[in-house]
Amino acid sequence: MGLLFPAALLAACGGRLSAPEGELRRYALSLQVETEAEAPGAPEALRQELDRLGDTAEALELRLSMQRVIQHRDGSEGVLVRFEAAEVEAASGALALPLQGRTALLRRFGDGEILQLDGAAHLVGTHRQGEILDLLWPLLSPHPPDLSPGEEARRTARWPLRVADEQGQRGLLEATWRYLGSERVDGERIHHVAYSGRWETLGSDRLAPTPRGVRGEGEAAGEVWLTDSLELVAHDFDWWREAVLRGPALEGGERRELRQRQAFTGRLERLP
Amino acid sequence: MRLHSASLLLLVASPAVASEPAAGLRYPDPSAWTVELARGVPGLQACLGGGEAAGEAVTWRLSVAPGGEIRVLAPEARDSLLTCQREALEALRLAPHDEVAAEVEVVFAVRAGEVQAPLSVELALPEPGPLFLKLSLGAEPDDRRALQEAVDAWLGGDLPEPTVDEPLVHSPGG
Repeated sequence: MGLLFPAALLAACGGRLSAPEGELRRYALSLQVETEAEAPGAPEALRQELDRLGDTAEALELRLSMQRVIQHRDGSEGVLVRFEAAEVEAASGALALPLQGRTALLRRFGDGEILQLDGAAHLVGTHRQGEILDLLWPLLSPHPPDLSPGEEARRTARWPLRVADEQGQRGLLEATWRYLGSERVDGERIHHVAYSGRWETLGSDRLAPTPRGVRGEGEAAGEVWLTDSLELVAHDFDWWREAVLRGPALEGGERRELRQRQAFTGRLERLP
Repeated sequence: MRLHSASLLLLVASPAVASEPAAGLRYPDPSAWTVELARGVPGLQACLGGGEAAGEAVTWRLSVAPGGEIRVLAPEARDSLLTCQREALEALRLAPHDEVAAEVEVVFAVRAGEVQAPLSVELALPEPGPLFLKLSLGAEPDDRRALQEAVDAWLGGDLPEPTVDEPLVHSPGG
Protein backbone atom coordinates (compact mmCIF):
# COMPACT_ATOMS: atom_id res chain seq x y z
CA MET A 1 0.00 0.00 0.00
CA GLY A 2 1.35 3.37 -0.98
CA LEU A 3 1.66 6.37 1.22
CA LEU A 4 -1.64 8.06 1.58
CA PHE A 5 -1.62 11.77 2.01
CA PRO A 6 -2.97 13.47 3.93
CA ALA A 7 -6.31 12.58 5.45
CA ALA A 8 -6.13 8.83 5.03
CA LEU A 9 -2.63 8.71 6.43
CA LEU A 10 -3.70 10.46 9.56
CA ALA A 11 -6.86 8.47 9.86
CA ALA A 12 -4.71 5.36 9.74
CA CYS A 13 -2.79 6.72 12.71
CA GLY A 14 -6.09 6.90 14.54
CA GLY A 15 -5.81 10.62 15.18
CA ARG A 16 -8.21 13.43 14.65
CA LEU A 17 -6.78 15.94 12.25
CA SER A 18 -5.80 19.13 13.92
CA ALA A 19 -2.92 21.42 14.67
CA PRO A 20 -1.28 21.28 18.09
CA GLU A 21 -3.84 22.69 20.48
CA GLY A 22 -3.64 26.35 21.21
CA GLU A 23 -0.27 26.88 19.63
CA LEU A 24 0.14 30.28 18.06
CA ARG A 25 1.43 30.20 14.50
CA ARG A 26 2.58 33.24 12.58
CA TYR A 27 2.61 33.60 8.83
CA ALA A 28 3.98 36.12 6.37
CA LEU A 29 2.09 36.76 3.18
CA SER A 30 3.71 38.55 0.25
CA LEU A 31 1.10 39.33 -2.33
CA GLN A 32 1.24 41.05 -5.70
CA VAL A 33 -2.14 42.26 -6.87
CA GLU A 34 -2.73 43.48 -10.40
CA THR A 35 -6.08 44.68 -11.62
CA GLU A 36 -7.64 46.22 -14.69
CA ALA A 37 -11.10 47.69 -14.53
CA GLU A 38 -13.56 48.76 -17.18
CA ALA A 39 -17.07 50.12 -17.20
CA PRO A 40 -18.57 49.84 -20.67
CA GLY A 41 -20.96 52.69 -21.38
CA ALA A 42 -20.12 54.60 -18.20
CA PRO A 43 -19.60 58.35 -18.27
CA GLU A 44 -16.08 59.46 -19.08
CA ALA A 45 -15.47 60.81 -15.58
CA LEU A 46 -16.25 57.47 -14.00
CA ARG A 47 -14.13 55.60 -16.51
CA GLN A 48 -11.21 57.90 -15.79
CA GLU A 49 -11.54 57.37 -12.07
CA LEU A 50 -11.71 53.62 -12.58
CA ASP A 51 -8.55 53.82 -14.67
CA ARG A 52 -6.88 55.75 -11.90
CA LEU A 53 -8.03 53.78 -8.88
CA GLY A 54 -9.17 50.47 -10.34
CA ASP A 55 -6.13 49.66 -12.47
CA THR A 56 -3.61 48.68 -9.85
CA ALA A 57 -0.30 46.93 -9.41
CA GLU A 58 0.35 46.72 -5.71
CA ALA A 59 2.57 44.78 -3.38
CA LEU A 60 1.00 43.83 -0.06
CA GLU A 61 2.85 42.48 2.94
CA LEU A 62 0.76 40.86 5.64
CA ARG A 63 1.66 39.24 8.92
CA LEU A 64 -0.96 36.91 10.30
CA SER A 65 -1.30 34.83 13.40
CA MET A 66 -3.42 31.73 13.75
CA GLN A 67 -4.42 30.03 16.95
CA ARG A 68 -6.96 27.35 17.62
CA VAL A 69 -9.26 28.54 20.36
CA ILE A 70 -12.27 26.23 20.07
CA GLN A 71 -12.66 22.52 19.47
CA HIS A 72 -16.19 21.86 18.30
CA ARG A 73 -18.05 18.64 18.95
CA ASP A 74 -18.23 17.80 15.27
CA GLY A 75 -14.46 17.74 15.14
CA SER A 76 -14.11 21.13 13.55
CA GLU A 77 -12.05 23.83 15.17
CA GLY A 78 -12.27 27.56 15.62
CA VAL A 79 -9.06 29.29 14.62
CA LEU A 80 -8.52 32.89 15.52
CA VAL A 81 -6.84 34.65 12.61
CA ARG A 82 -5.40 38.03 13.33
CA PHE A 83 -3.96 40.54 10.88
CA GLU A 84 -0.99 41.58 12.95
CA ALA A 85 0.37 43.80 10.22
CA ALA A 86 -0.87 44.79 6.80
CA GLU A 87 1.00 47.15 4.55
CA VAL A 88 0.98 48.18 0.95
CA GLU A 89 3.93 49.63 -0.92
CA ALA A 90 2.87 53.12 -1.92
CA ALA A 91 4.78 55.89 -3.64
CA SER A 92 5.39 57.48 -0.27
CA GLY A 93 6.63 54.22 1.26
CA ALA A 94 4.96 51.43 3.20
CA LEU A 95 1.41 52.35 4.10
CA ALA A 96 -0.46 50.58 6.91
CA LEU A 97 -3.82 49.19 5.84
CA PRO A 98 -6.99 49.28 7.91
CA LEU A 99 -6.96 45.50 7.95
CA GLN A 100 -4.18 45.76 10.50
CA GLY A 101 -5.33 44.72 13.95
CA ARG A 102 -8.51 43.04 12.67
CA THR A 103 -9.44 39.56 13.74
CA ALA A 104 -11.71 36.88 12.34
CA LEU A 105 -12.64 33.42 13.50
CA LEU A 106 -12.20 30.65 10.96
CA ARG A 107 -14.14 27.49 11.57
CA ARG A 108 -12.66 24.55 9.72
CA PHE A 109 -11.87 20.91 9.91
CA GLY A 110 -8.33 19.80 10.58
CA ASP A 111 -7.88 18.71 6.97
CA GLY A 112 -8.41 22.30 5.88
CA GLU A 113 -12.07 22.20 4.89
CA ILE A 114 -13.57 25.60 5.66
CA LEU A 115 -17.02 25.81 7.19
CA GLN A 116 -17.47 29.39 8.25
CA LEU A 117 -15.81 32.70 8.88
CA ASP A 118 -17.01 34.91 11.71
CA GLY A 119 -16.09 38.56 11.75
CA ALA A 120 -16.08 39.13 8.00
CA ALA A 121 -17.94 42.41 8.57
CA HIS A 122 -14.74 43.87 9.91
CA LEU A 123 -12.68 42.82 6.95
CA VAL A 124 -14.69 44.02 3.96
CA GLY A 125 -15.36 47.45 2.51
CA THR A 126 -13.80 50.21 0.50
CA HIS A 127 -10.65 50.48 2.57
CA ARG A 128 -10.22 46.99 4.03
CA GLN A 129 -11.07 45.06 0.85
CA GLY A 130 -11.32 41.67 2.50
CA GLU A 131 -13.91 40.74 -0.11
CA ILE A 132 -11.18 41.03 -2.73
CA LEU A 133 -8.65 39.18 -0.59
CA ASP A 134 -11.09 36.32 -0.02
CA LEU A 135 -8.56 33.93 -1.52
CA LEU A 136 -6.64 34.36 1.71
CA TRP A 137 -8.80 31.76 3.44
CA PRO A 138 -8.12 28.81 1.13
CA LEU A 139 -4.51 29.94 1.04
CA LEU A 140 -4.33 29.69 4.82
CA SER A 141 -6.42 26.57 4.94
CA PRO A 142 -5.87 24.49 1.80
CA HIS A 143 -7.96 21.37 1.51
CA PRO A 144 -6.14 18.71 -0.50
CA PRO A 145 -7.70 15.30 -1.08
CA ASP A 146 -6.14 11.99 -0.06
CA LEU A 147 -3.18 11.38 -2.34
CA SER A 148 -0.63 8.65 -2.90
CA PRO A 149 2.77 9.52 -4.33
CA GLY A 150 2.47 10.32 -8.00
CA GLU A 151 -1.30 10.25 -7.82
CA GLU A 152 -3.71 12.97 -8.91
CA ALA A 153 -7.14 13.61 -7.47
CA ARG A 154 -9.81 16.26 -7.80
CA ARG A 155 -11.42 18.19 -5.01
CA THR A 156 -13.85 21.06 -4.79
CA ALA A 157 -13.24 23.47 -1.95
CA ARG A 158 -15.76 26.09 -0.89
CA TRP A 159 -15.40 28.98 1.48
CA PRO A 160 -18.10 31.42 2.53
CA LEU A 161 -17.48 35.04 3.41
CA ARG A 162 -20.78 35.99 4.97
CA VAL A 163 -21.06 39.55 6.19
CA ALA A 164 -24.78 39.59 6.93
CA ASP A 165 -27.90 37.79 5.81
CA GLU A 166 -27.95 39.48 2.44
CA GLN A 167 -24.36 40.50 2.19
CA GLY A 168 -21.51 38.20 1.33
CA GLN A 169 -19.96 35.86 -1.12
CA ARG A 170 -18.69 32.37 -1.52
CA GLY A 171 -15.61 31.09 -3.24
CA LEU A 172 -15.13 27.80 -5.00
CA LEU A 173 -11.98 26.08 -6.15
CA GLU A 174 -12.41 23.02 -8.31
CA ALA A 175 -8.90 21.72 -8.66
CA THR A 176 -6.77 18.74 -9.53
CA TRP A 177 -4.19 18.01 -6.85
CA ARG A 178 -0.92 16.16 -7.27
CA TYR A 179 1.41 14.75 -4.65
CA LEU A 180 4.95 15.82 -5.46
CA GLY A 181 6.84 14.19 -2.62
CA SER A 182 8.06 14.73 0.90
CA GLU A 183 11.26 15.65 2.62
CA ARG A 184 12.54 16.06 6.15
CA VAL A 185 13.26 19.58 7.28
CA ASP A 186 14.69 20.03 10.77
CA GLY A 187 13.38 16.62 11.72
CA GLU A 188 9.88 17.38 10.46
CA ARG A 189 8.41 15.61 7.45
CA ILE A 190 7.04 18.09 4.95
CA HIS A 191 4.63 17.03 2.21
CA HIS A 192 4.66 18.87 -1.09
CA VAL A 193 1.50 19.02 -3.18
CA ALA A 194 0.39 21.10 -6.13
CA TYR A 195 -2.98 22.05 -7.57
CA SER A 196 -4.53 23.81 -10.50
CA GLY A 197 -8.12 24.40 -11.41
CA ARG A 198 -11.06 26.70 -11.76
CA TRP A 199 -11.78 29.52 -9.33
CA GLU A 200 -15.29 30.88 -9.01
CA THR A 201 -16.76 33.64 -6.89
CA LEU A 202 -20.40 34.40 -6.38
CA GLY A 203 -21.57 37.20 -4.14
CA SER A 204 -24.07 39.93 -3.55
CA ASP A 205 -24.74 42.94 -1.41
CA ARG A 206 -28.44 43.64 -1.13
CA LEU A 207 -27.98 45.99 1.80
CA ALA A 208 -25.94 48.54 -0.15
CA PRO A 209 -27.62 51.75 -1.33
CA THR A 210 -27.43 50.16 -4.75
CA PRO A 211 -27.85 46.42 -4.45
CA ARG A 212 -25.34 44.55 -6.53
CA GLY A 213 -24.09 41.12 -7.37
CA VAL A 214 -20.70 39.84 -8.39
CA ARG A 215 -19.63 36.83 -10.34
CA GLY A 216 -16.00 35.98 -10.74
CA GLU A 217 -14.48 33.28 -12.87
CA GLY A 218 -10.85 32.46 -13.31
CA GLU A 219 -8.10 29.99 -12.59
CA ALA A 220 -5.96 29.11 -9.63
CA ALA A 221 -2.71 27.24 -9.30
CA GLY A 222 -0.36 26.72 -6.44
CA GLU A 223 2.05 24.59 -4.49
CA VAL A 224 1.55 23.77 -0.84
CA TRP A 225 3.87 22.39 1.81
CA LEU A 226 2.23 20.74 4.84
CA THR A 227 3.40 18.86 7.90
CA ASP A 228 2.20 15.39 8.83
CA SER A 229 -0.48 17.01 10.98
CA LEU A 230 -1.54 19.14 8.01
CA GLU A 231 -0.18 22.32 9.43
CA LEU A 232 0.56 24.78 6.66
CA VAL A 233 4.24 25.48 6.11
CA ALA A 234 4.15 27.42 2.86
CA HIS A 235 1.87 28.15 -0.06
CA ASP A 236 2.96 29.57 -3.41
CA PHE A 237 0.04 30.76 -5.47
CA ASP A 238 -1.00 32.26 -8.78
CA TRP A 239 -4.70 33.02 -8.98
CA TRP A 240 -6.74 35.27 -11.26
CA ARG A 241 -10.38 35.97 -11.97
CA GLU A 242 -12.56 38.16 -14.09
CA ALA A 243 -15.05 39.78 -11.73
CA VAL A 244 -18.27 41.18 -13.13
CA LEU A 245 -20.14 43.54 -10.85
CA ARG A 246 -23.80 43.98 -11.81
CA GLY A 247 -26.29 46.51 -10.58
CA PRO A 248 -30.04 46.07 -10.17
CA ALA A 249 -32.40 45.92 -13.13
CA LEU A 250 -33.16 49.43 -14.33
CA GLU A 251 -36.12 50.57 -16.38
CA GLY A 252 -36.33 48.42 -19.44
CA GLY A 253 -34.52 45.59 -17.70
CA GLU A 254 -31.04 46.97 -18.32
CA ARG A 255 -28.34 46.04 -15.83
CA ARG A 256 -25.16 48.04 -15.71
CA GLU A 257 -21.87 46.24 -15.27
CA LEU A 258 -18.35 46.91 -14.17
CA ARG A 259 -15.62 44.44 -14.92
CA GLN A 260 -12.28 43.91 -13.34
CA ARG A 261 -9.56 41.41 -13.95
CA GLN A 262 -7.90 40.60 -10.65
CA ALA A 263 -4.61 38.69 -10.49
CA PHE A 264 -2.92 37.55 -7.29
CA THR A 265 0.50 35.99 -7.02
CA GLY A 266 2.71 35.44 -4.04
CA ARG A 267 3.82 33.29 -1.16
CA LEU A 268 2.43 32.52 2.25
CA GLU A 269 4.98 31.20 4.68
CA ARG A 270 5.03 30.03 8.28
CA LEU A 271 7.39 32.05 10.41
CA PRO A 272 9.72 30.41 12.90
CA MET B 1 -24.88 32.78 19.48
CA ARG B 2 -26.07 36.18 20.55
CA LEU B 3 -24.39 39.14 22.09
CA HIS B 4 -25.98 39.75 25.46
CA SER B 5 -24.96 42.86 27.23
CA ALA B 6 -25.11 41.09 30.56
CA SER B 7 -22.49 38.63 29.42
CA LEU B 8 -20.02 41.25 28.40
CA LEU B 9 -17.58 42.66 30.81
CA LEU B 10 -14.69 44.87 29.97
CA LEU B 11 -12.17 45.62 32.64
CA VAL B 12 -9.10 47.39 31.48
CA ALA B 13 -6.16 48.74 33.32
CA SER B 14 -2.64 49.81 32.67
CA PRO B 15 0.07 47.53 31.33
CA ALA B 16 2.21 45.52 33.63
CA VAL B 17 5.37 46.37 31.76
CA ALA B 18 6.11 49.29 29.53
CA SER B 19 8.64 49.19 26.75
CA GLU B 20 10.89 52.08 25.87
CA PRO B 21 9.76 53.43 22.52
CA ALA B 22 11.28 56.02 20.28
CA ALA B 23 10.66 59.73 20.88
CA GLY B 24 10.60 59.26 24.63
CA LEU B 25 7.02 58.08 24.78
CA ARG B 26 6.26 55.06 26.91
CA TYR B 27 3.91 52.67 25.20
CA PRO B 28 2.51 49.58 26.75
CA ASP B 29 4.09 46.49 25.32
CA PRO B 30 1.31 44.30 23.91
CA SER B 31 3.04 41.17 25.08
CA ALA B 32 3.07 42.51 28.62
CA TRP B 33 -0.68 42.86 28.76
CA THR B 34 -2.64 39.98 30.04
CA VAL B 35 -5.89 39.03 28.42
CA GLU B 36 -7.86 36.92 30.78
CA LEU B 37 -10.54 34.81 29.23
CA ALA B 38 -13.52 34.10 31.36
CA ARG B 39 -14.11 30.42 31.78
CA GLY B 40 -17.23 28.54 30.91
CA VAL B 41 -18.46 30.95 28.27
CA PRO B 42 -19.02 29.17 24.97
CA GLY B 43 -17.43 30.71 21.94
CA LEU B 44 -15.11 32.82 23.94
CA GLN B 45 -12.03 34.33 22.47
CA ALA B 46 -10.22 37.56 22.86
CA CYS B 47 -7.28 39.09 21.20
CA LEU B 48 -5.27 42.07 22.17
CA GLY B 49 -4.69 44.33 19.25
CA GLY B 50 -1.70 46.42 18.45
CA GLY B 51 -1.33 49.93 19.72
CA GLU B 52 -1.55 52.95 17.52
CA ALA B 53 -0.38 56.31 18.62
CA ALA B 54 -2.01 59.47 17.33
CA GLY B 55 -1.17 62.71 19.05
CA GLU B 56 -1.74 62.29 22.72
CA ALA B 57 -3.73 59.11 22.51
CA VAL B 58 -3.00 55.43 22.06
CA THR B 59 -5.63 53.17 20.60
CA TRP B 60 -5.88 49.49 21.37
CA ARG B 61 -8.15 47.25 19.41
CA LEU B 62 -9.68 44.30 21.15
CA SER B 63 -11.69 41.69 19.38
CA VAL B 64 -14.51 39.90 21.09
CA ALA B 65 -16.15 36.95 19.46
CA PRO B 66 -19.90 36.48 19.77
CA GLY B 67 -20.82 35.90 23.36
CA GLY B 68 -17.30 36.64 24.40
CA GLU B 69 -16.15 38.24 27.58
CA ILE B 70 -12.76 39.82 27.88
CA ARG B 71 -10.80 41.23 30.75
CA VAL B 72 -7.67 43.15 30.08
CA LEU B 73 -6.02 43.39 33.42
CA ALA B 74 -4.03 46.30 34.68
CA PRO B 75 -5.01 47.15 38.23
CA GLU B 76 -3.82 50.74 38.52
CA ALA B 77 -6.31 52.13 36.06
CA ARG B 78 -9.20 49.86 36.87
CA ASP B 79 -11.35 52.48 38.55
CA SER B 80 -11.26 54.89 35.72
CA LEU B 81 -11.86 52.15 33.22
CA LEU B 82 -14.87 50.90 35.03
CA THR B 83 -16.54 54.18 34.28
CA CYS B 84 -16.23 53.33 30.63
CA GLN B 85 -17.81 49.96 31.02
CA ARG B 86 -21.37 51.12 30.52
CA GLU B 87 -20.36 52.90 27.37
CA ALA B 88 -18.66 49.79 26.07
CA LEU B 89 -21.68 47.66 26.74
CA GLU B 90 -23.90 50.10 24.96
CA ALA B 91 -21.59 50.08 21.96
CA LEU B 92 -21.53 46.32 21.83
CA ARG B 93 -25.30 46.19 22.01
CA LEU B 94 -25.27 48.16 18.79
CA ALA B 95 -23.37 45.41 17.00
CA PRO B 96 -25.29 45.09 13.75
CA HIS B 97 -25.44 41.33 13.68
CA ASP B 98 -25.42 38.87 16.47
CA GLU B 99 -23.20 36.40 14.76
CA VAL B 100 -20.28 38.62 13.93
CA ALA B 101 -17.48 39.40 16.28
CA ALA B 102 -17.34 42.84 17.78
CA GLU B 103 -14.27 44.96 17.95
CA VAL B 104 -13.71 47.40 20.73
CA GLU B 105 -11.36 50.30 20.52
CA VAL B 106 -9.95 51.60 23.74
CA VAL B 107 -8.33 54.99 23.45
CA PHE B 108 -5.91 55.92 26.19
CA ALA B 109 -4.66 59.37 26.95
CA VAL B 110 -0.95 59.98 27.14
CA ARG B 111 0.32 62.46 29.69
CA ALA B 112 3.95 63.32 30.09
CA GLY B 113 4.93 60.29 28.11
CA GLU B 114 2.89 57.88 30.22
CA VAL B 115 -0.20 56.02 29.15
CA GLN B 116 -3.04 57.16 31.38
CA ALA B 117 -6.68 56.37 31.84
CA PRO B 118 -8.78 55.63 28.82
CA LEU B 119 -10.47 58.42 26.94
CA SER B 120 -13.07 56.25 25.38
CA VAL B 121 -14.16 52.70 24.79
CA GLU B 122 -16.14 52.14 21.65
CA LEU B 123 -17.12 49.64 19.08
CA ALA B 124 -15.23 49.77 15.84
CA LEU B 125 -18.12 49.68 13.45
CA PRO B 126 -17.79 47.87 10.17
CA GLU B 127 -17.47 49.83 6.97
CA PRO B 128 -20.21 49.86 4.36
CA GLY B 129 -20.56 46.51 2.68
CA PRO B 130 -18.36 45.00 0.02
CA LEU B 131 -17.75 46.83 -3.23
CA PHE B 132 -16.19 43.76 -4.91
CA LEU B 133 -13.91 46.01 -6.96
CA LYS B 134 -10.26 46.20 -6.00
CA LEU B 135 -9.31 49.84 -5.69
CA SER B 136 -5.86 51.25 -5.15
CA LEU B 137 -4.90 50.90 -1.53
CA GLY B 138 -2.25 53.54 -1.94
CA ALA B 139 -4.82 56.13 -2.97
CA GLU B 140 -6.40 58.64 -0.64
CA PRO B 141 -9.29 57.07 1.31
CA ASP B 142 -11.55 59.94 0.27
CA ASP B 143 -10.85 59.15 -3.38
CA ARG B 144 -11.80 55.52 -2.88
CA ARG B 145 -14.95 56.52 -1.04
CA ALA B 146 -15.91 58.94 -3.79
CA LEU B 147 -15.39 56.28 -6.43
CA GLN B 148 -17.48 53.80 -4.48
CA GLU B 149 -20.30 56.35 -4.40
CA ALA B 150 -19.90 57.00 -8.11
CA VAL B 151 -19.99 53.27 -8.83
CA ASP B 152 -23.13 52.93 -6.70
CA ALA B 153 -24.74 55.79 -8.57
CA TRP B 154 -23.79 54.38 -11.96
CA LEU B 155 -25.01 50.87 -11.19
CA GLY B 156 -28.19 52.28 -9.74
CA GLY B 157 -28.95 54.35 -12.83
CA ASP B 158 -28.39 57.72 -11.19
CA LEU B 159 -25.69 58.81 -13.59
CA PRO B 160 -27.01 59.49 -17.07
CA GLU B 161 -25.44 57.52 -19.81
CA PRO B 162 -23.72 59.79 -22.31
CA THR B 163 -26.07 60.33 -25.20
CA VAL B 164 -23.57 62.19 -27.32
CA ASP B 165 -19.92 61.35 -27.64
CA GLU B 166 -18.56 64.64 -26.50
CA PRO B 167 -14.81 64.86 -26.93
CA LEU B 168 -13.04 66.10 -23.84
CA VAL B 169 -10.89 68.41 -25.92
CA HIS B 170 -12.50 70.17 -28.83
CA SER B 171 -10.41 70.45 -31.94
CA PRO B 172 -9.78 73.96 -33.22
CA GLY B 173 -12.68 75.14 -35.27
CA GLY B 174 -14.67 72.09 -34.30
